[in-house]
Amino acid sequence: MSNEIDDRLLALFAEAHETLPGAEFMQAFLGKMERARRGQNLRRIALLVALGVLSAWIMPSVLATTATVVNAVGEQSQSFGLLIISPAGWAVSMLIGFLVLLRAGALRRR
Amino acid sequence: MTPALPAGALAAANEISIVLLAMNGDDTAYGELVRRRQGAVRNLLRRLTREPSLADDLAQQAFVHGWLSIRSLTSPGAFGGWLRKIAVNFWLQHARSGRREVALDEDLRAEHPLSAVSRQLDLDAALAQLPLDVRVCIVLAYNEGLTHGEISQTTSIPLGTVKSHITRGSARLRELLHAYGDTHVQ
Repeated sequence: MSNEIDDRLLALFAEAHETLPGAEFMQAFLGKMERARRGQNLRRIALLVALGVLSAWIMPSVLATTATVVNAVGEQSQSFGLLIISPAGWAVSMLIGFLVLLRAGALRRR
Repeated sequence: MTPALPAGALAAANEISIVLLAMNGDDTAYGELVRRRQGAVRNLLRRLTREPSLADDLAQQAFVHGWLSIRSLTSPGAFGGWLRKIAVNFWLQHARSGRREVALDEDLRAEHPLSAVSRQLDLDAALAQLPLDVRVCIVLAYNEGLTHGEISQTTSIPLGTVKSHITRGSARLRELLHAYGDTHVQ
């Protein structure tokens, strides 16, 4: 408590303090709480519905884009396969294998 | 999830345990907190608004807001101050929206010239004469017993301004109560 408080005013405030019956207040509060709960549930349902509608709306374009990406990856992996079985691919594969063996220390004399 | 306590155990439990239960979604525990705190919050808002029905309405709104946002409470021990801040903010929002304040019930005062009711009406009428920021500082200091620092935290008013509001507000309140003929404050 601050020390600049006026004791006479303090006594007046203390005198004005009432003991208030709580039953009616609690009943009104519980009613408002129930309304707030219903409002919260309605907002959640509205959000779920909005998400459902949004999903249904954007799903065709998401699926089309996914299909395009899968096709592109498939085409790329086909050309990658052809590259591996070419003479240059063999040479690169041999080089990579040699580097792996070297790094693992398998070519060192015992 | 903390298991719920039976109603009898809730009534005997300490407030921090009940706040923890309420923070975990126990509505019965929150109801117990409202039951315990309703008197203090309603008295605070009665000093600020002068109108019992408006004070009760704002208190109910504050408690509902508290129920909706209790998970944002950082420490169970801070529940009282957190709730007080919500109540004060609801009143400030209401008062700043420019809604009317009730006129003093002169008839009631005339019927009980020297009673506690009259002094309470005088106090509430005098408080209503103070500007909003001054009034909230005075009520938090005298009604709630808060320090200047706590008032500054509750209201977001700078500390120096709080001190000035309380010094000038107390002097003004004494003058007004003297004008209303309260012999206690002269």
